[in-house]
Amino acid sequence: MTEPTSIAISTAETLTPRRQRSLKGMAWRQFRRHQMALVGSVILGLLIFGAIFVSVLSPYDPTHSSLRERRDPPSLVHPMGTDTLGRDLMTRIFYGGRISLTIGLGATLLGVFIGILIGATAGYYGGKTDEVLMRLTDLFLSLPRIFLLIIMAILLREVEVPILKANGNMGGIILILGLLSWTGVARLVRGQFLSLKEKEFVEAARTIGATNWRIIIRHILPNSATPIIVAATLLVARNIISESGLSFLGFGVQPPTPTWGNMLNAAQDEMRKGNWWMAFFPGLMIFLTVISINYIGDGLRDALDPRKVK
Amino acid sequence: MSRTTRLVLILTLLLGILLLAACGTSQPATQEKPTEMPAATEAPAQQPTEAPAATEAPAATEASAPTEAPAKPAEPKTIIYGLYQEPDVLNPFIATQYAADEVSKMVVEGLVDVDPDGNFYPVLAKEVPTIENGLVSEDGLNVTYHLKEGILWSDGEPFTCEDVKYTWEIITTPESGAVNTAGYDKIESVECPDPNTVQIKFKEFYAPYLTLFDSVLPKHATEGSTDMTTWDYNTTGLLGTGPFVLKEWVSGDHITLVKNKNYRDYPDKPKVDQIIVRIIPSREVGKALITSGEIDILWDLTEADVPEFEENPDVIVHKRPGPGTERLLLNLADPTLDATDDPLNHPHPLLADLRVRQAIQYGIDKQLIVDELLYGATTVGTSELSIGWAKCDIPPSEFNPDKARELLDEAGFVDQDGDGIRECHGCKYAEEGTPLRLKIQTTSGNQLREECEQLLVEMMKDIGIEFYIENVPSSELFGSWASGAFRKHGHFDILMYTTSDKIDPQSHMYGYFHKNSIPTEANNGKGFNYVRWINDRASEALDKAGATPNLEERKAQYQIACEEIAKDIPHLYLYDRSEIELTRANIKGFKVNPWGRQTWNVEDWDKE
Amino acid sequence: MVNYILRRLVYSIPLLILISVIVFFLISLAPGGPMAAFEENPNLTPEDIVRLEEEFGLNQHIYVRYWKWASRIIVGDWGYSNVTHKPVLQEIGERLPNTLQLMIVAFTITLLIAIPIGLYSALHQYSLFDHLATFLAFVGQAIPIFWFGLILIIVFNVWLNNPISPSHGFAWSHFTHCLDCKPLLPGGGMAPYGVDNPTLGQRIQHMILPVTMLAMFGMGTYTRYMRGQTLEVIYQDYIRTARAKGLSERLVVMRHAFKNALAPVVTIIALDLPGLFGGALFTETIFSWPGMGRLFYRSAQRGDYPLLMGIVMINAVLIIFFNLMADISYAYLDPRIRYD
Repeated sequence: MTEPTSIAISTAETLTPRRQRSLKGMAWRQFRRHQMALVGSVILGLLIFGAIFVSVLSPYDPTHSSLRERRDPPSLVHPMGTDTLGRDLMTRIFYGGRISLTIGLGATLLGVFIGILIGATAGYYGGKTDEVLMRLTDLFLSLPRIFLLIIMAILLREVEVPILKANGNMGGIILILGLLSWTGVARLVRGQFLSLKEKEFVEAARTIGATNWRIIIRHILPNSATPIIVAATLLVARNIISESGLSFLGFGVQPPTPTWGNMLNAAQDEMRKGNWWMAFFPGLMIFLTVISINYIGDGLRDALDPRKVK
Repeated sequence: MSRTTRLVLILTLLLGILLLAACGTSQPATQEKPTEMPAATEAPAQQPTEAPAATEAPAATEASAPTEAPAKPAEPKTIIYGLYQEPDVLNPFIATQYAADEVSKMVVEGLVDVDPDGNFYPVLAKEVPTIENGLVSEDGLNVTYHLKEGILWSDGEPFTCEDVKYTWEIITTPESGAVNTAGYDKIESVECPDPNTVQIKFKEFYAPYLTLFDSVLPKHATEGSTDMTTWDYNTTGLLGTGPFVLKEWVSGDHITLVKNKNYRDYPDKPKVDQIIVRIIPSREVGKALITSGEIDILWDLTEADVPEFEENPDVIVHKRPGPGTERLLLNLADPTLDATDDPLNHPHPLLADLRVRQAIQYGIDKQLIVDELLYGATTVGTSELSIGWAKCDIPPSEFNPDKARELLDEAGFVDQDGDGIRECHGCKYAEEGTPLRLKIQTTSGNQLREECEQLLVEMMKDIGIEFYIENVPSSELFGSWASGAFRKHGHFDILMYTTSDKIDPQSHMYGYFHKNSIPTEANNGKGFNYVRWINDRASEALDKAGATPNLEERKAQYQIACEEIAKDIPHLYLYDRSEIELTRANIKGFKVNPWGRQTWNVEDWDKE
Repeated sequence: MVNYILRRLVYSIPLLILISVIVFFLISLAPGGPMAAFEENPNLTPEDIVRLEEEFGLNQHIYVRYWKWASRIIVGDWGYSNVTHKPVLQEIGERLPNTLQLMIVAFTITLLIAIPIGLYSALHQYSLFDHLATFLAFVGQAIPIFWFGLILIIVFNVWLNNPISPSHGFAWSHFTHCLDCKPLLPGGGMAPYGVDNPTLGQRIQHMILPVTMLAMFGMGTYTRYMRGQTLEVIYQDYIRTARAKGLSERLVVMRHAFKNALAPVVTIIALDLPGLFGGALFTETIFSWPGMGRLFYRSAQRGDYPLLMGIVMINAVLIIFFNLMADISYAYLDPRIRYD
């Protein structure tokens, strides 16, 4: 959940179409030159590694309380301390990472999928279709996010689908955030398609009798992949932040399943009491993840932009 | 025109439009109010002459104390009271939030009120009417109040019996929009033989008769429209006989109340010049602000907050056992049905079996929850009526996981697939193989409750029951029948929250435990028997308790009801709630009142 | 151009109607509802409930309620809040100036800092300054905003005292415990409480923390955007031409690069402006700011549909209006674009 002001612009940066470059090797070399992007990749890699292997690496159960060890500061036994129920914070951080990263990624995939569907249809067919779909997007944007969020959260609770309810409603949160994050991608893809559909290779495909959807999927989409990838990267970061905001509003993942967002929210009072570690480490994880992803996105943009090659 | 100029022009234009909007709307804030609504500043009668200057900024004194500043340039003594809820309206008869009473109580008084020990004491009446002093007839149908003489409304008009009569008349007028009319509809007539005597005649006996007229409306100031919701009285026009008068209400920010110079104890009381009720959007922020000293009093804390503030020498923790009890509500009816009126033939597949409910109770270590999560600051819950004259005597339940397992085995719930969760194998109501899996729900964002839930999940796991959490925002949990809220319509397994009985427990007990209080289509969702508990003995006891003015008899009947609850476990009591408030160390005279509003003795509050 | 504007305005009417229908329908779906507040009240008789439902119109069909609402709004009657019984426009009027005060100040400061930084960053791409600016921009986006706000309160309100005011001598930290110590910065509200005419200085003090919170967040996105746009521009031919003509670097930057890079930024600003109206829920919640964000959230939670509809509709009108403004300003700034 971002503050309303920034909603419109957060993806704006990525809206500018860039020219394509197919030489993958050159792009990789360029990306490697972007040191921060490399550092970001390493950090993100470590986090993902930890999230995957935490069940093997940690001797603790993330949901089992140990009341004698409540609010222990960081020590050798608990490198990040324990929480209000005496659970090992580091273990919960990595389990939480699983959920938070899955939410960030899942919501983005959903958002990008819807965005491409709408954007491609609008951009490729143009005319009335374009007009209708884009007004639909406008309409969606003019409904306040917080309002949509509350309504969706309530409606989803009524639906008894196991996959949405798993892991403390993780599936539901992915759906909500996904449904809220397609607009930027849709506009971006539409822009790409509007300009690409006039290109010679599309004409060529059409003359050999390719169907519309084949042209869209096989020809135009791969050529507009770059900005979509960059936008998607940043969307992952945004959705991870949004998850923490949802927890703050009381619509987050249900306990005892840990996420960075609900751990941070549960630590609101602890900061004032001086139990800094409970708020610091989840905050740090969100921070590191988001900043790493942003740098990776930046690196990708530079790498895939032909003009930056000197 | 150069393009740079154009650019600047456009930017200025855009920002200008918004600024214009800002200025344009800041004026109407007062102008757009209907003319009959006196803007806060236009109420000179209510302005204190004691120079309304700053407490925090002496520099502002000269600026803000214009003509009235006499020889004494003393700052007004101000107490800042932090509420984390904003009142919707201040009219006690249409307000719906506890916070509203907290504020209106400083202005509006009633005939009698309840002190912290649960005793009624006279406020506008000379004495509390009882059968003993002859002011209540033997059958309880006639009640007489003698009013104190010389009481004035804060605008100087005399307060008389006519105001009491008017109060009854207006709130029982159907189009008035009043919502707290229970009991008033049982009144047949209110007579005024003289201005200081009120004679109330009831159609039928109403046990909590003393709780009526806990607020009295000013006839002279509200007469005219019978639709209460349109009154100025609800907001800036609030008028009473109490120690303070409303000066201004800045929406979402604060409500300022200043001394009432027509108060009967003026100038001895109130002791401070003004009370500012500051609206704080969250309890967490409130705790930060009282630590830093920005507010003087903070309303409604939990037991879990006690240790932190007991260590802080700047803050005093005021705590007293309250009538509330945190409990689990165990649904006895089939949760897939919508508001069934026949829970006996449509039982909850798992919870309808008494042995399962008993096992849950045996499996919960209530003392551990009290000791660890609440820092021993309260006691384990045993019954609905934990304090007060009607207090029930029920022994605490036993923590005995072995017995819980035995009961579950006996009930036909065994773990055969080895996943740690029992399934139905020959159980009473559920289908064969149904896992013993129950949804537990409470208000989201409440840290204490979420911690408690997580301990419960573990305790239940230990005896082979799976609890899973699905918390919802309080507005959704406590939603209404018309909006289809799941609590009202019975779509839940287990709910966890606190509810409190009033000084007279009748309406609360009847509402939650009588078999006629099950919300159904037929009664338009009325009643709070959400668990759909049908117990004839308890229902009969509650009928009897409501029909007699004899307190001993009533107490005995409530005891019967409590015993039936303890036996049947429709509600499972976890721990008793305390009423907890914080004040800064220099606030004197504050006294917690578990039965009412914390501002009940606001005239005695002082600041050193 | 005039035709274009007229056409857009005409198109916006069905859009507004559609929005109102959708929102109205969604509100009615949400449990809670206007009656929720009365739920825990044992003093409510069944007759009270029926009466209240009638008063709120809940016993009528959704389309009847919508029709009633719509026919009133046409003649400019926005109705009354279900919660406070105050006129909807009065409710909004009480909160809007507060919100605009906070948001406009935060927004202006954000732009005044972000645009020069973005420009400078782009002109010195890959310099130390650029790296630092990029890092800070990312930091602003990577911190959960409510967490940042809470930290601000704890540090500047709870922990740090104003060392000048107290009689207590030098006591800068709250751990010294003195009853008359004042916090370094106010922890919320718009002005000191109990002061009738707060000075400008006091008002500014109260804005420091919330503005910091908002600016921290907005700065990153604008810095990045300005930087991106400038980079886009400075590789263009006309900049090269300008340089080749022998213009001073300063002139090239100011007259050509900056101006051209700013044009799309203005569009984005225009698109962001309606957001100022909606307020900032998290900031308002943490710093007790009586703004639109909290008003909206409360009405959404309590199903106060007249107020909710009022806010949503004003918001929608603003969005449509500023979208149009953005397009027009774009055409105005870039003569190549023509609308027919």
